[in-house]
Parts: sequence; structure tokens; C-alpha cells
Amino acid sequence: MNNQEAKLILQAYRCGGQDASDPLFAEALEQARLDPELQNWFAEENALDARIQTSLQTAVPVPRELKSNLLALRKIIRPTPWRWFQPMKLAAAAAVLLLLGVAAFLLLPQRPAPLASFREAMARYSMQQHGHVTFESHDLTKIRQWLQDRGIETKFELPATLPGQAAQGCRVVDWNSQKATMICFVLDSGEHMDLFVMARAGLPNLPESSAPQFVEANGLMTAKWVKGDKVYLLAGGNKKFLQKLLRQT
Amino acid sequence: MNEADYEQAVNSFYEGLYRFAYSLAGNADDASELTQEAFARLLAKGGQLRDRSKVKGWLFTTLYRIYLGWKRRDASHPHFEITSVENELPTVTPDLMDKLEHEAVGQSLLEMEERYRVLLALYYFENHTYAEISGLLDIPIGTIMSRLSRAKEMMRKSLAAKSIGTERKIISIKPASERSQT
Repeated sequence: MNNQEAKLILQAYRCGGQDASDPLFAEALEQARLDPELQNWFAEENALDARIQTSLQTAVPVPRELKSNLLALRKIIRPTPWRWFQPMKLAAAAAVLLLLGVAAFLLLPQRPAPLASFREAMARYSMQQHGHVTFESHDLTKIRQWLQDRGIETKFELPATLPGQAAQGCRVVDWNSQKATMICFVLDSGEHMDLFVMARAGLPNLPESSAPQFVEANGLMTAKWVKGDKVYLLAGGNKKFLQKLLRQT
Repeated sequence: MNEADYEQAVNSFYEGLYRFAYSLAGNADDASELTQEAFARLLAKGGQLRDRSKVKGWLFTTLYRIYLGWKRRDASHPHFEITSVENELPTVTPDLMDKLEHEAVGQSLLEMEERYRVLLALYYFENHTYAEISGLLDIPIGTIMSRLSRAKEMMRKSLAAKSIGTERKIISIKPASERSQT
């Protein structure tokens, strides 16, 4: 190994200790120990890197509220237990699932659409604080226009009890390679609601049902109904509030 | 994963994860959202991790994939920020001058191409092994070494260029008496 090769490797060496036992650096470190010129170069390199690292950490401060927001997530999303994934249990669970799958395939009609996944994904979008909406407006006409300009179909019916002036903006979200429109509302009562509209084709075999179905997803109450070629999901509030809101339409 | 495990993961990794996200997204809002999304997925899917020691690598890989997903989405469906930024000039103080020096370093990082920026962020902010970085970015260790070397060189050139700008400013405000003596 010549000094040029050693420098290339030593440039990647971090003095914090994380690379101390990495065999990748052993030969180059030994060479630096024996060659004073290389040793000087290495010392200067480390000093400069330490300074840049300090500056970068100061230049990118971590927001104070981030940690508490992250810890609050566990109150919203129920953690999945690790114990299920110990190898023996995993194998047993896989065998049971395989049997159940075969039985279901033989005995049951076609599997229902993955509504649960859709609900959970939309509930997650609804809970996102940063970048919650992409376009901000209280004017539903402008919101529809913004969506149309981006090639999104806007022939959907909003519940009459969601007044236009309560709209805060909209966003287009992805689920399972499908686009869904999200319109954000804050009602006079202070309730925050997000209405998601997606083409019914995105959830095949979904029967027409104008009666809302209330299900909690990711700690958020949702109401889903199907009308025409669209599936609607309203997220926010509690079941009683949603029932009251949708009964009035 | 139970709540205590999750809390430990947040305590151990959130700062590094946020800084990595910042180096990718280039702004605080997106960096926070990326970090929150990665931890939300840890809660939702963390049970699938058989080995708890893999949580850190899983979080960084997940965040990087979320970011790549955003990039693909934005390419096919551009987003528009509506928020307006007011142009306010800050008061110049010694603290601000120090901050400007740090910000110049931060700015140099953000000005770099993404493939260099990501590596520098992992190099300066995190203590992944190079085998882990290779897995995270899906590039061979040899490529990481040569790319990192190039990235550091580019960053130093950028900083040198910025320091020349600073020196010129300092020279221009020397008192006339001093200038006549030299």
C-alpha cells in the first residue's frame, strides 16, 4: 500500500472510535504510525474533520419538540410486539397461517378489499403535522381547481355538513399505487377532519354502501362510505360526532 | 416492541436520524416529517424485526426509502409550497457571526449533489460501520471510500471559496488610517 492509497482509506476513518476495530483501516493506520509525513497529514485531516463536524452539528439543530412528538406517537400507534417474531413462534405462526390460508381459499368467497390498510394509511396522513396540506385555501372552488390542474378528478360529493369555508386546504396522497385526494377541514366547533376520496377501482370488490361504516384506525375514528365510482373516508373526531355529522347529510 | 423499547429507540437515534433526514431534504419541516414517519413505521412494523440490535439500521434504511419514495412522488406529481417567507434582516451580533460560520459549513453540505451529501452526513453525524453504510445505500464499500474522498474534497473547496468571500469583506471595512499604513 502506498501513501496515496493509505490516504484514501484514512480519509474515511473517524476518530470517534467507531472505526477503531474495523479491519478495513488496520493496514493504513499502521502505515500512518510508521510514516511521519503520513502521520502529520492524518492529524491535520482529523483536526479539520472535527471542526467541520462541530460546525455541522451546530448548523443543523434538532427541533426541541421533535422528541416529545416522537414519544407521543406511541399513544397513537399501538406498537407491534416483538415476541411474536421469535423464530420458533414465527415458524408455528407461519404454519397456522398457511393452514388458515388454504382453508380460507377453499371455503370462503374472494377476500374482501384491503380496506383496513387503506384506513390505516389515510389515518396516518391525517395525523401528519408537517406538510399536512400541500395547497392552503378556504375556498373549495380553488381547491378543486388546484386538483384539476394536477390531473386529479374532482367529480366527488362532499357531505353537506362540511361547510366550504371550513376547508383548510388539500393534498394528494399515495396508497397502494393509487392517488387519493385529502381535503382538510376545521369546523366551527374546533374539530379537525380530513376527508379522503379515492377511485373505487382502487379497492376492488367493494360493494356500494352509502351507509357510513365507523372503524377506528391508528387511534383515529374513521367513517367510510361508497358512492358511485368513489370511496370516501372521513377521519377525525369521535364516533358520536361523525355519526351526527353524517346523519345530517 | 413495547413502549419502553420504543422510548429507548427514540432516545438513542432520533437526533442522528433527524440530521440524516435534514441532509437529504434540506429543510427542517421535511426532516421532522421524515423522522416522524420512520418512527411511526417502527411502531407499526417494528415487531417484524427479529433482532433488536438491528433497530438503528432499520430506522435509517426506512427513512432513506421514505425519502426516495417522496422523490419519486414529487417527480410525477410536483408539490407547491404556498407559505410565503418574509424578508427580515437580522441584527448582526457576535453570536450571529459565529452562527454564520457554522451555517456556511451547513450550506456547503446542502449545496452538494445528493450522492455526496448523504455520505458526508453519515460520515460526520453517525457512527454506522462502513458495512452498514454499504447496506443502507446499496453501494459497495470501495465506491463509498472513493466517493467520500471526493465529497470531502468538494466540501473543502466550497468552504475555501466561502472563506475568500469573508476575507474580502473584512478587508473592505478596514479604517482608512490602517489602509494607508500598509
